[in-house]
Amino acid sequence: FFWTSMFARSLCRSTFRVSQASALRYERAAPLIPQYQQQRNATSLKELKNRMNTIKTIQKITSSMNKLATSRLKAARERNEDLAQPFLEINMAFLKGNGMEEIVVGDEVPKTKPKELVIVVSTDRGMCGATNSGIIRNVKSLLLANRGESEYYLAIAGSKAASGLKRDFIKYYHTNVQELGKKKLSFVDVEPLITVLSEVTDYDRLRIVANQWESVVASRIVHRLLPNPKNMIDEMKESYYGYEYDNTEEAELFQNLQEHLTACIIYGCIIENQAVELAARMNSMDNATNNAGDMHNNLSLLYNRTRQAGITTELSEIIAGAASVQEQD
Amino acid sequence: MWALRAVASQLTRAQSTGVAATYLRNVRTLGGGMNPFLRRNYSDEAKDASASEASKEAFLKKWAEVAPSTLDPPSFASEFAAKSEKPADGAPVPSKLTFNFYLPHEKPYSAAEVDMVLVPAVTGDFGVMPGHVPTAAQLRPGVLTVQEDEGTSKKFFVSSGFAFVHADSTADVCAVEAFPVEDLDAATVEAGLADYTAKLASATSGGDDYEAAAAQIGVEVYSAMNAAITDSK
Repeated sequence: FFWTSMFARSLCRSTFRVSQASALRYERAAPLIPQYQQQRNATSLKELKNRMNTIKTIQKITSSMNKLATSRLKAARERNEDLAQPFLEINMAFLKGNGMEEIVVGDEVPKTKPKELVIVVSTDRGMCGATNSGIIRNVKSLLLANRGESEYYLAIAGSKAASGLKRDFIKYYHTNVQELGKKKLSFVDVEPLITVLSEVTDYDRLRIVANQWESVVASRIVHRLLPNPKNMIDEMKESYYGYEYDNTEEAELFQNLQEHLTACIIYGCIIENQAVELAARMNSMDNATNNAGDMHNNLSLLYNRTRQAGITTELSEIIAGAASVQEQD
Repeated sequence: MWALRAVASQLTRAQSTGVAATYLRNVRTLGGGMNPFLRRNYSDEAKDASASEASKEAFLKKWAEVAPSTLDPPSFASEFAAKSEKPADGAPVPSKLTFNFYLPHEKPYSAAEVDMVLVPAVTGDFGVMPGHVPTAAQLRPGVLTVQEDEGTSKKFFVSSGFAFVHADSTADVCAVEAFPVEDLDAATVEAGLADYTAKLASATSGGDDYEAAAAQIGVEVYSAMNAAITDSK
């Protein structure tokens, strides 16, 4: 009897070789004794069913996030194109490509290290693809590239970049502003970031790191640089901008001008970032939904095969048992 | 708000001219106590556009040493910001001014062709016509007049902002808040003016700088609104 049952099991095993990988995984959990095999099949079926239900739930969640992002994207894109882009343009126009690029650390050893105020624009919520992770990696590379040569202050908008950067660069961290644009973003909301400009006055230049909208599937990261208003005075201003400033007190004018430019640029960047975030979330949730669907299909096939193999095993055992009883007769 | 701070800073400086004067003196003689090498780099590089390209290359080189290989290098504003084009010296002045008037929440004028714009700057009103010298001016609370054609002109009350006139007869006005003067309500304006005058009196006697500055701003804005209403009558 024992020999026949072992032979029967080897026959069954050859029939469900497809599900061998997962079956073997479950087999290790219980010894290879006949009465355990039925229990094992039942357990593995239940686990498979659980997993399938979980994946179905996840698919529903990602699908609804996808639809939500898609519905909000249109309005965000319009806001970006109508308001943010022109706003950014005319405020950047003042600095129209006039040499505001990186300053080479010259041959002279500076008496003090150059200091930079970095304003980072990120989001509060996740699940938006590479929007925040790209910014975090970009800023990390920036801080590491000049490590030891420059000092930085980090003013961060959004909680994702804050959690990403706080751990490694806590000594540079200055402010974090969250929940920007949860309701419709208004110009007043950028005020906490601008107060940083009055708290930190000894920086040499200001850098704004933000995502720029390229298309629904693509975005890139842009650094916008502004000098410290104290550097804008005197001979700087003429060679730099070629504009006249009437008879105002220059120190104040440049301070106000710089605050105005920074506020407008940050405002435009945040609106643009909202559009980029929604597009990225739409794409990534779409992919996640498709992946979940594929996983569910694969598991469903596996489930059916396992179930059928279990039935085949039972059948063959019954038949073998019946045959042996018949032989005895 | 930065506008608050701007006026506040003006007020506080007005109160402490001694400190301000010494600061400016220091700025002019010692280069502001800033890093001298950095100052030199700025002005040198500004004159030579290729130097800024070189500095960008240097930055990207240092970046490439530490950045992960899958990370794209950042773009810079000069790559997509339109270069300013100075018109040739002998070029004729355009007949109309290209006017952009942007607010954070709407765009009253976008690339509109107008005859003249009267801008309420902190140093006084000035009119912008085609061919105006490039200027950057801070706006005070006041009335911005846009003369579109010979007959039509529109007036807007702006709270504050900046006006830029570029070399190619383009004027950009970027204001924080603005609306047509017709929308001003005389009764509310008078009530507000009285309210803030009282606040100013109490704050200056009380000695709180911030409150005094805020009340001062309130008085300025409401007085300007009052003037705008009386002018338009």
